[in-house]
Amino acid sequence: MNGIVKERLIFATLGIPMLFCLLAFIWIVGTLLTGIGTVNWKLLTTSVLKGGIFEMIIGTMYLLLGAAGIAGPIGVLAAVYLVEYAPSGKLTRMLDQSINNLAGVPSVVIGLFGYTFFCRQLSLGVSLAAGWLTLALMMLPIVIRGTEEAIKMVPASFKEAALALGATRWRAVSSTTLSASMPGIVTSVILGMARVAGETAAILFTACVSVTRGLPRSPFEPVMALSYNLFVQIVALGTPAQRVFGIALVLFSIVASLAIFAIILRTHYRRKQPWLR
Amino acid sequence: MSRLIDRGLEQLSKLLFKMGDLAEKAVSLSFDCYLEGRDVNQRVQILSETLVLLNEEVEKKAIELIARYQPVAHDLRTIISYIKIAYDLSRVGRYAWDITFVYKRLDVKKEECEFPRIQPEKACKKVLEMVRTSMKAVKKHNVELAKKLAVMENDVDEMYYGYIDKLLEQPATTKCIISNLLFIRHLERIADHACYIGESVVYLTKGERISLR
Amino acid sequence: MHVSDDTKIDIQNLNVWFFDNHVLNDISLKIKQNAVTAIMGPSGCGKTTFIRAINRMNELIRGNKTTGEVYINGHNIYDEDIDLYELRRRVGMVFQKPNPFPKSIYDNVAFGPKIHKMAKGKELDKIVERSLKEAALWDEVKDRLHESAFSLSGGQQQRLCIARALAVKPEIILMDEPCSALDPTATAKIETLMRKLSDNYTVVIVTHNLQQAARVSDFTAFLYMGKLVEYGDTESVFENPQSKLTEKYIMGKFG
Repeated sequence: MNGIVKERLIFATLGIPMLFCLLAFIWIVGTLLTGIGTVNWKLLTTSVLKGGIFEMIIGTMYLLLGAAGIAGPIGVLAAVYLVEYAPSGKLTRMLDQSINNLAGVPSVVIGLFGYTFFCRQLSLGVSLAAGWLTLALMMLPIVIRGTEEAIKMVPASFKEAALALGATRWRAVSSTTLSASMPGIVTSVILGMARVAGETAAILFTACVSVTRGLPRSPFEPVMALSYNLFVQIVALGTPAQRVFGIALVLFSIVASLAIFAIILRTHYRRKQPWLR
Repeated sequence: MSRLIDRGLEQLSKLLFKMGDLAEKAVSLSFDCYLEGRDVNQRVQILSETLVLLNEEVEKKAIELIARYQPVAHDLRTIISYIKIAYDLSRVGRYAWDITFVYKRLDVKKEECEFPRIQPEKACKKVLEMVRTSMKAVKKHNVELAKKLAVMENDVDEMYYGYIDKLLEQPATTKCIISNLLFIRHLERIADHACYIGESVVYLTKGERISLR
Repeated sequence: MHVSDDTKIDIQNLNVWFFDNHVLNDISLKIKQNAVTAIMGPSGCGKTTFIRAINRMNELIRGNKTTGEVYINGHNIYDEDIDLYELRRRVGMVFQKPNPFPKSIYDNVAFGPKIHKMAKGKELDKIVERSLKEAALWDEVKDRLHESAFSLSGGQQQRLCIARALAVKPEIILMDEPCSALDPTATAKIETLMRKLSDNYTVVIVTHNLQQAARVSDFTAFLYMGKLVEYGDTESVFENPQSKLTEKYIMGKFG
C-alpha cells in the first residue's frame, strides 16, 4: 500500500483511542448533567440541616486550602533542594524514589496512616487539621514534581549570571530561578488541589462526618466535604439518583474550575517566559 | 589542507614570476644594446610597459586578497612583499628601457664611446646575475640566495665608483660622458632594486627587516 | 607577593581537571592592567575554562580540581581566606549568549549593587545610570527603564549584561565570546565598547574569531590542547608569530 494510505491508517489507529476517551468523558458529564435539575442557588447556599449543601462546599474549600498551605511550602522547598542542592548519590536517589513511592500509595492506605498517626498518635481526632495533613501527603508528590519541572525549565544561565555577580547560591536561586518559575509552581499547587478535591478515602476517617452543626469553629473539629457526602448518600442514604448526580456535578465543577484556572494562569504567564519559545 | 586564500596567492605568485622573467629579458636585451649596439629599443620599451601594467595587476590582486581574507603572519608578509617586489621589477624594466633609450636618443655607435681600459661586460654580467638570483630567491623563498645579493651589490658598487673615477680621468666627448654615465647609473639602480627584492624575501620568510646594501 | 608595575592578574602553574580530563596544563601568564587581552585557540582548547578560573566559576561544575595560583592585586584568589563573593564582584563576567534576568532593565542593573548592599534609592538610580552610560546603552533605554529586559535586541541585551557587570564596580571584566550570538553591527558596537572599557578596567576576552582578537586586543594568548603556546602583543603575534603552531592556526592551516 502506498505511503499516504498508510499514514491515514496510522492516524486513524492512533486517533480512535483518543476518540474513546473523549466519548467516555462526554458520557460522564452527560450522566452528571441529568442531576442538573436539582442544582440551584438555594441548594448551594442552604445549610445541610435544611437540605442544602452549603457547609459541604465550604468544607471542601477549607480542606483544599489548608492542604495547599502545608504541601505548598514544603513541596517547593523540597523541590528546590532536590534540583539545586542535593549531591548526586545513593541518598538522593533514595529520596527521589520515595517521592515516587508516596505518589503510588493508595489513598485509602494514606487515610489509614492519617488516622493512625494524625488522629490517634497526635491526638488530633477526626478533624480538619488531620484532614489537612493527610491530604497534604497526597498533594506533596504533585507539588514537588511540578515545581521540579518548573525549575528545570528555567535556563540555568540566569542563575549563572547571578553567581558571576557575586551572589550566594541561595540568593542566585531564589531571585532568578525561583521567581521565574513561580507561575509553574502556582500551577502545580492548583493542580494538586484539583487532584485531591475529590478524595474520599483519605478523608473518610480522618476529617469527615456526615452531618455536623455549622462550619467547624477550629481546625480541631471535624468537617463536611462534598466527596465524603457523596459516598454517604450513595451507600447509606439511598438518595435518588438525580440528587446524587447534582451534588457530583457541583464537585466536578469545582475540580474543573480549578484545572481550567491553572491552565489560564499558565498560559498567561508564558508571555513573561520567552525562553520557553 | 588548501585554504581559500591559497588560490589567490598562487595567482599572485604567477603574476610576479612572469614579471621576473620579463624583467630579466629586458635587462639582458638592454645590455646587448650597450655591449653590441643592437637596436632593441622597441622591444625593451614594450617589455617595460608590460611590466608597468603587470605591477598594477599585482597591486590590484594583493588588495583583493587583503580585503577578502584578512591575511596574517606569513600570508600577510608575503602579500606586502610581493607588492614591493612587483614595484621593484617594474623599475628594473624601466631602467632597462632607459639604457636602450639613451643609446637611441644620443645615437651612440658601439666603437665610438667604448669605456677605455675598463670592462663593462663584467658589470653587466654581475647585474644580470643579481636580477636572476633575486627572482630565484623569490621563487624559492630562500634567504641564503637573498643574502648573496649583498656581496654582489658590493662588487657592483665598487665597479660603479671605479667607473666614475676613470671617467673623470679620461678625456672624452660630452656625448660619450653623458651616455656612459647614464648607463652605469642605471646599472647601479638595477642592482639596488635587485637588493630591495632580496630584502623583501628576507622579510617575507623571517619577518626581519634588514639592509642588503 | 607577586605585584609587578602593570600586571593585574598573575597566573602561575594553573592546572584544571574535570574528573580525569586534564583541561588546562600548567598555564603561567601575566595579564596586564587596563588592556584588552584576547585568549584564542581552537574549540576545546580550554579557553573558557581558563577565564572561568579567574573568577572561580569552574567550581560550580562537578568534578573540578584546580591547582596553581592566580594572583590578583597580590593575593592568591585560591587561598582559604578569600571571600568568594567579593572576588566575583571584583571580577565581572559577560557570557556568550546574552542572559539578562527576566526582570526590568533597571532591576537587571540594580541586581548586583543590591545584593552587595552597595546603595539604595537615589544612590542606586545614579549607579544604574552611570553603568548604562558606561555600557553605551543609556540613551537607548533611559525612557523605558522599567520595561522588561527582553524587549531589547540581542546587541542591546548584551550591553545590558555589560552594564550589569559594571554596576558593582569591578576591576576586571571577563568576556566569553561576547559577540558570537550577535550580528555584525551589534558586534562592532561591543568591540568599540571593549576598547573604551580598557581605559578603566582590565578586559580579558575569549574568542574563536581571529579577526576579532586582532582588532580588539592589545595582547593575545594562543591556547592549544590546554597548553599556552604563545603570548605577546597582538601586532607581533599576527605579523610574525614566534611559534610555528601559532602561525599555522592563525593562517587557517589547522585541520
